[in-house]
Amino acid sequence: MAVTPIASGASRFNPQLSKRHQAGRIFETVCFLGTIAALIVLVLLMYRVFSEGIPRLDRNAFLAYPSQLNPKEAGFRASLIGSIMVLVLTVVMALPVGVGAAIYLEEYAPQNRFTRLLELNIANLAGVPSVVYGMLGLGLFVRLFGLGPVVLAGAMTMALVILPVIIVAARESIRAVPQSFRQASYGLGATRWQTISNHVLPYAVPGILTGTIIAMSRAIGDAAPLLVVGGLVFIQADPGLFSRFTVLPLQIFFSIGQPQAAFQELAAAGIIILLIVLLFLNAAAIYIRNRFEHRYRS
Amino acid sequence: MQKLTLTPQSVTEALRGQPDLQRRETIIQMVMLACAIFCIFVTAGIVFILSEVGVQFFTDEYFANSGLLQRATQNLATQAGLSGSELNDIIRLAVDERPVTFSSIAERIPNVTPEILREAYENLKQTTSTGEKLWLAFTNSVQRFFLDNRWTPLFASKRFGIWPLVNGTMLVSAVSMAVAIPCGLLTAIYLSLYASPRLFSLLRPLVEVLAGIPTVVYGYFALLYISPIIQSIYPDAPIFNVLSAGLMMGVMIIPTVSSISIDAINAVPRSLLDGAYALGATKMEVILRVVFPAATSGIVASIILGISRAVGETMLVTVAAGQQPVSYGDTFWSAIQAAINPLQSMATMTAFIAQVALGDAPAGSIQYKTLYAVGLSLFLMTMAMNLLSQYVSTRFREVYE
Repeated sequence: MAVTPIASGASRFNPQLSKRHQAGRIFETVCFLGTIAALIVLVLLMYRVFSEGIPRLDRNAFLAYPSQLNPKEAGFRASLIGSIMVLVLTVVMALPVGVGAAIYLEEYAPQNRFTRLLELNIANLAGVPSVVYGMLGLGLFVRLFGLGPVVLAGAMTMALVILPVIIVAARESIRAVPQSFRQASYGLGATRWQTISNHVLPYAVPGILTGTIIAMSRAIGDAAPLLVVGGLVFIQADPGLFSRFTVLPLQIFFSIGQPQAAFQELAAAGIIILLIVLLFLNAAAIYIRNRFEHRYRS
Repeated sequence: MQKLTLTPQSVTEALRGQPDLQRRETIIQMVMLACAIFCIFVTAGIVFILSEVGVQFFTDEYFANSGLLQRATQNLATQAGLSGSELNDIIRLAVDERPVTFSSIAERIPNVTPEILREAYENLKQTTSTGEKLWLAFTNSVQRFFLDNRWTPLFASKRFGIWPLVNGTMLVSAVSMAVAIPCGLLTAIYLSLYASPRLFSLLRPLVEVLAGIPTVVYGYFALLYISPIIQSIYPDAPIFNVLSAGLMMGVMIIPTVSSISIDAINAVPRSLLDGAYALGATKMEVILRVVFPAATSGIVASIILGISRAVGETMLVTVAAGQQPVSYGDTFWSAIQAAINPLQSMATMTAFIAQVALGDAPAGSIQYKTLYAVGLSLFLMTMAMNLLSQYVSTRFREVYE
């Protein structure tokens, strides 16, 4: 029995499946390469930084003060202490306000125009470049309040930088608390605040902590606002709350700008210290997330 | 599911009998509200500080004086019978009150010495009212800020054209987006549609790490590792160049583009994909013809957000792109060439802010005020982009039932 073609070959649909699947495989490979290309570049760069900086990472790197004349003996003592002080103060100031704002927006705020304005405002604050916060700090804390370029002014500036980050993270973890918790608490006659403080917050704490740690790693690496506030100085003493200060990324920034090779090595060593601190912070965030995430899920 | 009638409001009702508890609740609520309102104060503070000094810039005496000098020059030049383009050229010389300026103007006008010009200028300065001076300062500064094509406020011969800085910012952003858009989108597609759950949970945090690395570290990479490679290919390129800064910034922005795009892709309903598969489409065809169009609003929003990050980035460009505002040359073609050539050192708006901050400009000086004029421009640019990003992602979202 012969099959007679209904139409000529040209108008018949030809799926060309093998060709299309081959194109698909190529596309998948391209996507994969696009994903890992940046990571490979990063690994190569990291390798170079580590091979350059590790030999310089001796006792001096941690315990010596910075030096403009003798980069081989210089270290990050003052900037490390400065970084830690700024970080601690920043978190102490930003965390209560951030969590408070998050609680208000998630638990109290009515659905109205004012709430939408608050939300829009926070979303915009998160997008403001950190250098602009630096200018706010310079104009407000350093000049208008008359604090001068001291640790406290730097920390206040940095607190404003990370405030939106903390609010967004805290809101997300408060929103993830099951509604049934609140209903059960109200059902037992608890007031609104009792419900929040005894049931909502304990459940949300791991998420808030994770968000705070991520905000901390942003605060420790971000140098631009502190540069504008005036955090790039040579100090040969441990900073106090009201003394001038410098931070790790700013000393790295300064070292990169120097022509001598010894300064570049110092910068590499500083970058390693900074990256290790960040690694610890992120590991802590991941640990907290994994450790507490499913605690309440039955 | 049955709806519970127990609400926070009914609890408040029940508290009527306990005024102490009720008062405490109200106080706590007020404290929380204050925390939220604090954020509005932060925005207001930014706007206030930036515009306060920014307004001082646009009404500075420096510009009033240069406006008056222009007037004096114009009067003298027209009296001497000059007109047309010659007149305009001379008026353009009248920018500040340095002796050099007076003598260079006087040279061009017949029968006028620097002393005559200075006398006319001082006369005008005394006779002009304060209000008119303010107006002159405003028009003069706006003109010079937006219409001049050179940026040298830290030199003796000051020029205040913002465009070279905006140009630098745009060019660095363009180079970085040329890296971040393709890589970010390919990453989003691979992670959300190809990768197994295991690979996804491994790769996604790794990609996010790119955004967590301090920008000064990227600056170090760009300056010490990428620039030498670029110089070995293009020996004429300077060590500080836009290309190396832009490439590294692109790597930094990949997670910004990819993570929001992943969310957008995941929001495309499963049924749409299934329908396309049922019609016989291959996976690539589904991705390119169905998923991508459906996720466009989120993807565009992520790209705008990425640009906004690139515009605001400071340390990386300060370290790697140099401090030299681009100069355009005299001809049209040289200007175009200068504007788009990434193999040169180019200051951005943020790099200028960092430069002034490093130089410790005294408060009240015109340099200090330019800092805030540039900061205000930067703030407005990034805010416009953030609002646009939010608008795009909500307004153009494809809604599927």
